[in-house]
Amino acid sequence: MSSDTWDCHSTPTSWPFDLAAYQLDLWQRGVRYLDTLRERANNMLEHERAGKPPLLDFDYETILDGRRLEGPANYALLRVTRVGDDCLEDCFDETRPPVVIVDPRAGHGPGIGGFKRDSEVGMALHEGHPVYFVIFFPEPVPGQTLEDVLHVLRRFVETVAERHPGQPPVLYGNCQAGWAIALLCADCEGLVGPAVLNGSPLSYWSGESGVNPMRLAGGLLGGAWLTHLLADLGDGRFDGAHLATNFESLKPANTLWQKDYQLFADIDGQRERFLDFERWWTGFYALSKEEITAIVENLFVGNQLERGELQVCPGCTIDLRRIRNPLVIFASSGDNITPPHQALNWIPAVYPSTEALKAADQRIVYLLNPHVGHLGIFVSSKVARLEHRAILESVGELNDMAPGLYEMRIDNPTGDPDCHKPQFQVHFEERRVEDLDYPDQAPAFDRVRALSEHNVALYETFVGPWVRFYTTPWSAEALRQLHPARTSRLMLSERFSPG
Amino acid sequence: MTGVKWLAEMVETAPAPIDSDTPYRQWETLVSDAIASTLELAGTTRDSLYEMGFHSLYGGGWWSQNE
Repeated sequence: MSSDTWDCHSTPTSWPFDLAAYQLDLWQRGVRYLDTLRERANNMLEHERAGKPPLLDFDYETILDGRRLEGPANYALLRVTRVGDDCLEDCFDETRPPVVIVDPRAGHGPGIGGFKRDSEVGMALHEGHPVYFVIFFPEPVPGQTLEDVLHVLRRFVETVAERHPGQPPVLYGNCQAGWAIALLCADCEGLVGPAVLNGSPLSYWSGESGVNPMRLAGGLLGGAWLTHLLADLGDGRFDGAHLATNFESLKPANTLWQKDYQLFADIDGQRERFLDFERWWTGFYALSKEEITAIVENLFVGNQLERGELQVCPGCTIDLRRIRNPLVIFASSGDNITPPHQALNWIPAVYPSTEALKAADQRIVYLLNPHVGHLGIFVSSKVARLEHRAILESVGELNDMAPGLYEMRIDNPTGDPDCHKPQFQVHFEERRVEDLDYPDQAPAFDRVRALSEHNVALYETFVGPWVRFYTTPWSAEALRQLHPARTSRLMLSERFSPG
Repeated sequence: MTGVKWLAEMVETAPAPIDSDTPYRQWETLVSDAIASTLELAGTTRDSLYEMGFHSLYGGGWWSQNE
């Protein structure tokens, strides 16, 4: 190396000292990095021991426990009662409708919508709405079905509507909770106000070639039989750690290197943020076999929602055309889990033309972020302060809009923290359904569906009974504890590596 | 890991950070970026292979002859 390289920082004689200083810094960062991983493992154990409570940064009271209802499901309705500062009293506006936020049940626990002050919960409180939050518990009620979940969610919506007469609640669904909300809207005509679907897939076969590989997994693995096997090995429960691992495998660069290096490089700045996020990310929740197989077979592999073929109970088929409340669809081009294709492509499948949408008297608004990733849609403070606040600010206008498809544009954020003043100029530009033109790959996915049905039948006939016969609660628990998503983290806890 | 905890507590009492723009830190960042790019490339290649495999399996060919 030439001495020129050292001009700014070192003299030719000082480099041994600089090198020594760097080595000391490297070692200190290494120690603190390992210590952070140790603390993450301890947090994980502590969180499990505490029963994995929801990670909401707000005080709350439980209004209704879905486990005690007829047709029970492991959900509960909470009302957010207090936020650390006095914002709740200052901003509360009794003319505002209640907001019901539903978190996704996709392997992790609830709380991501209210993880910190600058979140969906925080913004809804700031805009003066009474805020309700739907949580779920770590273990499903044995045999719990999608039908049970939907009935319990419907009961929650009815309860909130009763508590705020004349103000149909705004439903706010994150990721997988979005389709649950869409089903609810189709089933609860007149009971609910506008629904906001954040990064929610409704059109499961859509995506960009080479960019969204997750939709192909069902085909490459031969369909839903593997889900049946994993649920059987789990003694009727599907471990959320499988889903978390699936997400992590999407971006190997981030999972295997960048996430850890960012922590290592800026241990002082990143430590708390890392530990807070990991407390949520490593809290794995289970689904019942009935739920996960219905989701995978009917939605992911079957794509039955946009086709109007989804049967949640005998005789009740979900038809998205029955949704009458305005919908806001928030998606991001940077989201590789729910790309805009999956969030929007159901619209032309359900309403073949703009005229059909208008004739159905429906209003659909979409909002696109150009780059934020999937989790950023719910977690990012910047997104909460801009997009979520703008959505909540303009939610009242949606009922008065003429039927049609609109793109929501947000301009000129004022930066004014006063909750009584509008923050943005929001306008809605009319769009045509025909312009939502994503490539159709249905024939290939139809073949996957057919193969999946065969494979599931074969599995359930010849393999499943034996797997269920030999699986015991002990073997299921052992497999759960030995899942790499747990062992790779817990091995760094003092409980497992005391020395 | 108890030893790590003890060491970390010691380190926190006498931190010796260096500027992030020193040449050694810049090298470290470069190496990290190179590792990340390699993994990114591996991921992209894997996704392309998935896509190719999926379309070879289900995109026509055998299926269209037997449907």
